[in-house]
Amino acid sequence: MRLLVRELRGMSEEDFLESRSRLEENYRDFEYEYCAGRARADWTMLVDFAGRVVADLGCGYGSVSLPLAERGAKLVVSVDATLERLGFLANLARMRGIRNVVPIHGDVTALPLAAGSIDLVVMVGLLEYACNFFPSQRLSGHQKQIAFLRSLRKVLREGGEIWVGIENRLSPIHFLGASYHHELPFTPLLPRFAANTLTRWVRGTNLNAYLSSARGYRRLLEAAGFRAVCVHHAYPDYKLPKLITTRPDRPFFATHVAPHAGTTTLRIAVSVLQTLAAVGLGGVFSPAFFLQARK
Amino acid sequence: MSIQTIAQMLKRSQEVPAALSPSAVLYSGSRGDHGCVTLFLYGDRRPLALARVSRRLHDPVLEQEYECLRMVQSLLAGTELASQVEMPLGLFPFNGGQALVKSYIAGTSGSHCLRWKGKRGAARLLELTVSWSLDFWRHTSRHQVRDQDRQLQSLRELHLPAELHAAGCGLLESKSGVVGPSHGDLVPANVLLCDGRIAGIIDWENFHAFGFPVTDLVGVVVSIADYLYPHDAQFLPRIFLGHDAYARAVRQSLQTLRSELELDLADLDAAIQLYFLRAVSLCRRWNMEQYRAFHETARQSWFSHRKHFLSGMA
Repeated sequence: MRLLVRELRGMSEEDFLESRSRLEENYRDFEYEYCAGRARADWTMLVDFAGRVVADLGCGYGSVSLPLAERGAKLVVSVDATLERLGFLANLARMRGIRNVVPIHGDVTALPLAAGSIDLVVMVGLLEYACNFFPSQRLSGHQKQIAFLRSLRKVLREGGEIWVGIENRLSPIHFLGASYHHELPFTPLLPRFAANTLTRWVRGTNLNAYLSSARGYRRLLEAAGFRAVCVHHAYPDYKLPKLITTRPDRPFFATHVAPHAGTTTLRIAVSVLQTLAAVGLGGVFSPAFFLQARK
Repeated sequence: MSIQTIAQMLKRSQEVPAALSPSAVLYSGSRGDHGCVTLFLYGDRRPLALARVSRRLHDPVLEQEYECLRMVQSLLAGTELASQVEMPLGLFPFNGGQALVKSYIAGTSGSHCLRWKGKRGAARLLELTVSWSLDFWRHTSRHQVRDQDRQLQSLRELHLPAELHAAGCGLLESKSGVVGPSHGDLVPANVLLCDGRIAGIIDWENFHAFGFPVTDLVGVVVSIADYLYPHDAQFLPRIFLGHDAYARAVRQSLQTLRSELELDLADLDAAIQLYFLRAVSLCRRWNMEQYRAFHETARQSWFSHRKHFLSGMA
């Protein structure tokens, strides 16, 4: 990635787009759609960010930061712990003529931001890892997540918003033995104590990511002092969601999901979801969420 | 302006039949940076309108589509086809860019029907689409012109690379060179079906008042086959020389088109070549390299074996 960043210096956006395939071939870590594609920020169309000061935590390559800055956010503060990714972000911002983005290399638990200075905090794929933050404090993973959210609440102004992209603990893939964060099979479904014990026994470490259900996240945000929590259900994941809805009811599945089910397996899965939706459980097994809450 | 504000404005303007709820479903389209995001606006627990937002900030595609939809609606005013084209409700400032809001047409995309119903479904889709396209041709025939300068201008607007442009110029002598109102991207994904009938034709952003309508009509047979054989760029022998349900429907449709539009085999040949030129150009514009290569191979295949294919149609 360091070599890629060096190559991007002085390159124009046209040159970058033209050499896209070559760069993808030469640099194993680089995939245009993932690192620089605007589609990853599609979900932000649901967010009212124009004229606001935004903090993008765990910004990675800037796939959310840059579209926000480009589309009228007043200022975007992009924080990440990996310097090369921020170098990529800074180069892409230069190519696109974006000047209202400030990359910060640092720790998201020690933000150099004044209390009440941010209008909107966005973090995609970060909250689940907060169970590993604050290593010096003797807190459980769940308590660490709450402490992290409280620290973010402090930097938000009164009435400010937080948006979190995260997977569902009850995602269908967990029932099939797969996992998003290299956990042991089925451990995300187990009670935390049992999951931690099993992981320590097999791997010698604690569970590396804490996921919850929609109800669990709602409680987590409320415990950190947030209010007006709204859960947006994302399909098939939060990284490149095709569909997002706040109301995963039967008409939603019939109108937007069923027509996309091209294989027999998917059709059966959609029928199950429609049946669950008919009894008000349509969102329980959504793969991922975007959580919205206010200070 | 947020999507909630747009919903409230539409509600006040009473351009939609029922109260819009601010709740929305977001659909993230394909085509990467050149694509659009669609927000469905709900009322009475069903979508009533949809807002299209471009991923790129300075993208003329929405204004273009808005103008196209207004033009199509005026062309089709008073006909039954008008209800099968989305009604443009306005262009609104939205998240630093613009949102094109239009009425929602309920239906299942033709491309999904193909996945479910295979060749028989494809045959039915072809029959319906050709019939709709012929209706569109008839309703808009008074706007068609056969002027050579206008034809060349239309060809230039396809923004073809030099070698393809030269190939296109050679095709304008035939009846396929007639210019007039043309959808420009009549593929199964843009045909909405409901209860076995066409509910709507969507995505009019490539509409041309002076496009190549014969290419739209004849190109339908190939565009459906693109979806039917997505991994086989050498699919042309299957549809022009095959004996399955879809190949039979292709022969039937081309016969209908030939008799309705009084086309000869040279016209069909020119229309299919223009279809491929346009497909290659669209893929290049949207940076869809894989599809561009697919259409390029199919174009070569047509060019090499067209006499054989056309003799099958004779």
